[in-house]
Amino acid sequence: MTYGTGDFRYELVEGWPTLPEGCSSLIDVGGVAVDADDNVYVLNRSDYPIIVFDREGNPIRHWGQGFFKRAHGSFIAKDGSIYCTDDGSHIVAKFDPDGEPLMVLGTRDQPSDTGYTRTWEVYQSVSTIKHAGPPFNRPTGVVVNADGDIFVSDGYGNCRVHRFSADGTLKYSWGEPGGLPGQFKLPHDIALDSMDRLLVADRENSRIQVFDQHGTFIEQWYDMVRPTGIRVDTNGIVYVSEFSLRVSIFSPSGELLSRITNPSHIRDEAIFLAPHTVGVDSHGDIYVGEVSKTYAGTDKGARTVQKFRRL
Amino acid sequence: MRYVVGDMELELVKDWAKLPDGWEFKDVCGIAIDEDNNVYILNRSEHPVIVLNREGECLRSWGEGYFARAHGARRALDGSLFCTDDIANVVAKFSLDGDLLMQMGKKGESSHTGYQHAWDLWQAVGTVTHAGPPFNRPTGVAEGPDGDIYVSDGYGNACVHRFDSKGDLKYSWGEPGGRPGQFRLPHDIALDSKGRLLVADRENSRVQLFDTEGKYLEEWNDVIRPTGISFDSVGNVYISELAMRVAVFTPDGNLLGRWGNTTIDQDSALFHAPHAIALDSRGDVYVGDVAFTHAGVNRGANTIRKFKRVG
Repeated sequence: MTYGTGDFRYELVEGWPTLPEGCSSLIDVGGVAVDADDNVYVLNRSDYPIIVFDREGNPIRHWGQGFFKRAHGSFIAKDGSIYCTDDGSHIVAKFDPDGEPLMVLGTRDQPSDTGYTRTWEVYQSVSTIKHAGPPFNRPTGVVVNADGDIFVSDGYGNCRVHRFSADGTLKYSWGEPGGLPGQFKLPHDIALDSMDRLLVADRENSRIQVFDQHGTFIEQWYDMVRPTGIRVDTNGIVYVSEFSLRVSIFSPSGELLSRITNPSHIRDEAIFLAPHTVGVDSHGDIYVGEVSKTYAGTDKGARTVQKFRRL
Repeated sequence: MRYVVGDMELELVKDWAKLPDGWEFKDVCGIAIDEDNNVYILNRSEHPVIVLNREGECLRSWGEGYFARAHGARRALDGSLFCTDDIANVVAKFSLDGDLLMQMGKKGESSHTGYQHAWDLWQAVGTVTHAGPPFNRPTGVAEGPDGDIYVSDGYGNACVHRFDSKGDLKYSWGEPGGRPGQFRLPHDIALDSKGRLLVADRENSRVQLFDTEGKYLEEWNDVIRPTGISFDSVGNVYISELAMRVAVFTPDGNLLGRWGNTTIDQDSALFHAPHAIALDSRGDVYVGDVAFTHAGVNRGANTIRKFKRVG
C-alpha cells in the first residue's frame, strides 16, 4: 500500500518500533523529534516518557520517568538538546540528549490567569478563555531559532505565542482569543520554516498562521482541518499532522503537495485515529505520533507512533 | 437561574416540555414558532415534529415515517414549515399540520463532492474536495421576501444554493476551505431584516454574511462552532454554539452577551450540544440540544430549554 501522491509517496514500515523491555504501550505520543543522527525521540504518556529509537526502531535509551504530568510537544535544537512541553504542569523543559534537565520555563502547576476553566469538553474549555495571559496555561509546542531564542505556543488555556531569550527570559508575547489574523483558538504547535518565519498550528481555527519572529502576521494557510503538529525539513518542506486523521505535506510557500490519509471510511481499516505530531529524518522518512488513547479511546501500543518510508 | 444578556434578563423555565408518557426527543435539531407561540420541535424520535404550546403542553405530532435524520427547521413566509433531512438529502415544506407541500432533492440521492462519510466527523469534513450541486447532507433553510429559498449544504458539501419559490435551482456559491466565501460545514442559514444572509460556518467557527446573490460582505468571528441562527423582533441575532453556549449579537455584529453552562459538572449542565435556537413573540428563547448524537446523553424533556424573558 502506497500513501501520498507525486514526489511524496510513502509506505508504512511494519513492525516499527520495538518498545523497550517493560514498556507495553506508548499510550499517547505527544511529540516526535528527530536528531542530527536520525535518532527518533518519542515523547509519550507512558512511564517511559522519552524513548529514543534508531532508524530501524530499536530502543536506544529512555528517560524522563516522573518528570511529566502530561507530555505534549517537543523540539530538538541544533546543539542536540531537546525541549519538551508539559501542558499538565504548565512548563517547558530543556534536556540534554541523555535526559539531564537543563532549564525549566514556567512554574510547575501554576497556570496563568486567562479566564480558562477546563471542563469535560474541549470546545467549551476553549470558549472560557476571556483574555490572553502571561506564560503559561497548558503550553503545547516549542521551537528554537539560530540564536537560541525560544518560541512557545500557549496553548489549551491561553491564546499566545511567547518569545524567550536563550536563558529563558521572556522578551514578548502576541495573540488573543478569536478567529481573526493574529488571534488564536488553541495554538497547538509552532515551527520555523526555511525562511525563518514562524508557523503556528492554530488548531481550532483550522489554519496555520505565518508570522515573522517579532510577531507580525504575514499570511495564513487554510488547506487543513485541525492541524496539530508542524515539522519543516532541510529543504523547507512543511509536514502537518491533522486531527482530521491525515498528514499533509506543503511546499515552503504553502502549496499542498501530498496527503497521507486513512485508506477508507471504516474505523477498523484506519492507520490514523488521532495524528498529533510528525517528525522527519534526513532520508525524508516521516514519523507520525498519535494521541489515540486520549482522543479516540484506543490504545495502539507500539503503533501509537508509525514510520512511513519515503519512496 | 437567571441570565443577563446586555440589558435583557432571561430565566430558565425548569422542565418546560411536558411530553406524553413514553415520548422522547433524543435530539432537538430544529425549532420554529407560529403566530400563537406554539413551538414546533423537530427532533430525532419516532415523532419527528412535536408541537407544544408555550406552557410546554403537547398539542400534536406529525412527520412520522418521513425523516431519515431530521436536521433543521424554519418558518416559511406563508406560515408553513421548511425542514431539512441531512441523511435523506432532501428539503421539505410542510403545512403546520404536517401535510407535505413541496420537496427539493430526491430521497437517497446525494451529489458528488468527494465527500465520504466516516466514523470521525473531521475525517469526513476533510474529504470534501469540491462543491457539488444540491444536496449532500443539507442542514439549514431560509426564505427571501420574494419566496426564493436558500439552503446551506452541508455536512457533505460546501455551498449555499438559491432556489426560486417552486424549488428550481437558480445558482450556488461556496467551496471547501477557510477563506471568505469558503465553508467547512455550513450548518444553518438565515435572512436578516437588512436582507443579508447569515451562514453558520460551523467548523470554521464563524458566521459569514452575504448578500442574496452570494457576494461576501463580512464575517463574525466571536463564536465557536455556531449551529443555529435566529432573530428577535428588533433584529438582534441569536446564535447557538456547540461550545455549549448561546450568543446574542446586535444587527451590526457586536456581541451583546451570551450565556451557557455555569458549572463544569456534566450531569447538571445547562447545555450539552446546542443545535437550534428560536424566539417567540414575547422574546422567550428556546434552545435545542443534540446531546444524544453528540454526547450520547438522552436529556429527556430537557433536550429543549426554554428561557423566559423577564426583563
